[in-house]
Amino acid sequence: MEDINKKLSQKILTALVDEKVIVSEKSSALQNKLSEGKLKDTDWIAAFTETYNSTLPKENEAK
Amino acid sequence: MKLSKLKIQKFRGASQPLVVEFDSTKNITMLFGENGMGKSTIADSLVCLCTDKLGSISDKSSIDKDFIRTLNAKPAEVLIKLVTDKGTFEAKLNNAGTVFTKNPTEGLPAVRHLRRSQIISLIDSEPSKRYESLKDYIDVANIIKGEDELRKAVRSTTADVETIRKAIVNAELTLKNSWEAEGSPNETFHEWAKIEASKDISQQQSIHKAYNDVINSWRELESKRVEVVKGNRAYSASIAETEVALKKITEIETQNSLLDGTLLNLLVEAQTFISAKESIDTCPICERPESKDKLLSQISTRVETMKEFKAAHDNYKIKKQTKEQCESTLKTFIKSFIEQLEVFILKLTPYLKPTDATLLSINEINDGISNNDKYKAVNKNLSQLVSSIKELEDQAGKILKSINQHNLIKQHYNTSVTNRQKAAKAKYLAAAAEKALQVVEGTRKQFIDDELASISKDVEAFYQNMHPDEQLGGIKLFLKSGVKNSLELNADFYSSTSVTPQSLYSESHLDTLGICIFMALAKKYNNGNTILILDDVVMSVDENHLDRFINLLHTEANNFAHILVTTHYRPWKDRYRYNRAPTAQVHFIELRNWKLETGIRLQNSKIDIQELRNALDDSYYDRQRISNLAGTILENTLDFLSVKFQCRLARKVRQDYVLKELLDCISSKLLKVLKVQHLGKDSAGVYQIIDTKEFEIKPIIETLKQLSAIRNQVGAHYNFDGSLVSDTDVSEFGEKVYEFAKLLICPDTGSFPDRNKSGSYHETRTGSIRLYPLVEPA
Repeated sequence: MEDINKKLSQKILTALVDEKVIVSEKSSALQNKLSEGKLKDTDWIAAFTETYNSTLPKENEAK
Repeated sequence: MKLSKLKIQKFRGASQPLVVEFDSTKNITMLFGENGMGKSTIADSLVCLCTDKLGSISDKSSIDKDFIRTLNAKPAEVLIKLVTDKGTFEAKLNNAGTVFTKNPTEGLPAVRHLRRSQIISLIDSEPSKRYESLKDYIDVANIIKGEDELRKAVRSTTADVETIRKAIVNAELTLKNSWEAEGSPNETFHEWAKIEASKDISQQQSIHKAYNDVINSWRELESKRVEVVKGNRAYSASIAETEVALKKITEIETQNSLLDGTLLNLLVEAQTFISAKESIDTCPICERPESKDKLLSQISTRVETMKEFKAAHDNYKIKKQTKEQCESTLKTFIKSFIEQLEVFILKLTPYLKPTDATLLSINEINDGISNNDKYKAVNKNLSQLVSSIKELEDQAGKILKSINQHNLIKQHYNTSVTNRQKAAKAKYLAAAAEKALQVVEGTRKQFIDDELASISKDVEAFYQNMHPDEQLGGIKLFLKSGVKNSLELNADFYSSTSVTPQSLYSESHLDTLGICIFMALAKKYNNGNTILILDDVVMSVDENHLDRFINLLHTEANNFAHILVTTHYRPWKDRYRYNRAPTAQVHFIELRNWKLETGIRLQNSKIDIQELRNALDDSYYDRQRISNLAGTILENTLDFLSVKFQCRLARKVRQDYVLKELLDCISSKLLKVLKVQHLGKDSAGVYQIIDTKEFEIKPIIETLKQLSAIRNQVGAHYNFDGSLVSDTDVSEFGEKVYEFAKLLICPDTGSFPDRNKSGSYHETRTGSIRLYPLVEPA
């Protein structure tokens, strides 16, 4: 039987990546945790932090 | 997946091992039995084996899990075992009797258990609770958990933004106040704070430390000096008290010249000496014969006369000891003072001028004199130091204030700088969390709406099958926007669209609506190995709706691995018994009376036509049974034809027409043209006009009219005429009825030709038999 949580988590992560809230590299790990009901508030914040960091200029670029 | 066998042991009503053998050629099993015979035990066993639920037990408000097992049975005795063509699956109860252990844990059939309570819950509940009843199908609990955690993340990131904002405001307000207090140097308080925070204050800190060392050392010296003063006072007092005690002894001796201290001591010692002896015969001094008691008595009398003198002596002794202790303590205090003095002088010297009187007097102290003299020499000059120390304390206070001010500015400046850096990130995270929540919530609701919309077509089709031409339908299930998990149910009613069906539909229409929704859900989420259990879902419906429901069930049966129907509704069972429904697709199991000693008892039901065939072929010839069965089957078949062709019959309140009435109601016009065609199957197994055989009905009806009296004479009553009927006639009646019924019953499904798709004849569901004409000729 198709896991409905898996199907929905896939749609959610796709939407979050499309909205640039999550970086695509992290979406697979987040999707697994979300579909298993194991995604914690700290995981969400870590994912947003990752996206935030990706928006900052990199050190060597700044130089 | 095909079910072969279900074994249940010590589970609920199965007090004795129960084996249900499934007919592998049929994918619908009907368990018929009145209440309390064990239907739910069988249904629940599949639920407990294949899901984490307990089935109908969960409907009870207070679940006592002890009753999962049969009364007085041990948990280890409980067994549920299902044999299928895909493997054997077992469930055993754990030792606590609370949880089933499955073996294997993977590959179990999916069970969809539909109970009446679920239908009521779906239809009657508040929208907010209605969603709960669909959870078995659309269970997104894991996603909702993640969504709730995201809400926590929104709250915490928003709180972080506020905390950082407050920290910046507080730090900058303090800096601004300090800046203004300093006369607003530099252009801005921030610029000033940056300069202040970068200043090096290590020199100030070391000076402050040195001053503090001196001050603390002085305070220590002061406390030592106080000790010495107190010790000195105690010593002086002890000297005075000793002198008073000595004076008292002298006064007593003056008043009585006979009193002598040495004598008193001698007498007390003699008293002690004699008391210690066990016995004595002579005086130890004069050696005159004397007893111990008498000697002691004489000594006591003399000591008594010197009582006051003795007390004065004892007091003097104590005072003298006290004076010696005080003197020793004072010496210790002075020594400690002198040691602290040396430490203090070492720390103080850098801050005194070489000409300072205190320093000079201190320097005069040399090691050659006693501590006492040192103390005396220094003490008189110490008071001169108080002002110097006060001056040092003031200077230290000013330095400390300056250091604190610097630290405060530095701390608040750093707070301001670091929090301004943090604020940008915190605002980003809070906005991202908020945005993510909108996305997750919106996607989840849209997903569920899409899932619900995807079953709408099936729900509508099922419902229209059940209620054709009733101007009902338009069923819509959707989540109400802006409300968490509020499931709305709308439908059409004549010209009104999108109304709440609960307010306009009858109870039985709502029941069938609930069944249609659950069946559509079960169909959608079926993966080919789903067992659909309809557990007493039909309570009482009229004949037409029952037939439509049976049709719906048979149409949809191929979408499931197996359908298990439990019912106590006899009309449902009888629709099959009398071939009014596709009998051949259903395996009947009838449950007999349940007792704890015997457990659940099953018997495979037979349809009447099978029983007639068996009776005709049986070596034991039962003429009454043959006549009785043939009569019932004939009545049923004629009833079908009379309804199909709207034959004329005298109206009766109860439609309990007798055999003769049914035989005579078929008009001669109809009888002339009444015929059936039996079609042949093509290579694909589909009925076509191949090897078609045609049979007229009239000859057989004519014969049956002649034989029909046998039903009453032999099969129903006691009378003489019955005895005159030969076995040959009885057999002919039975065979003709059998032949008649077989002409009209589909060999595949066991149902009559009750469909009218062609517009020119009636036909069976499979197309095997065609019945002509469509209507009675005019």
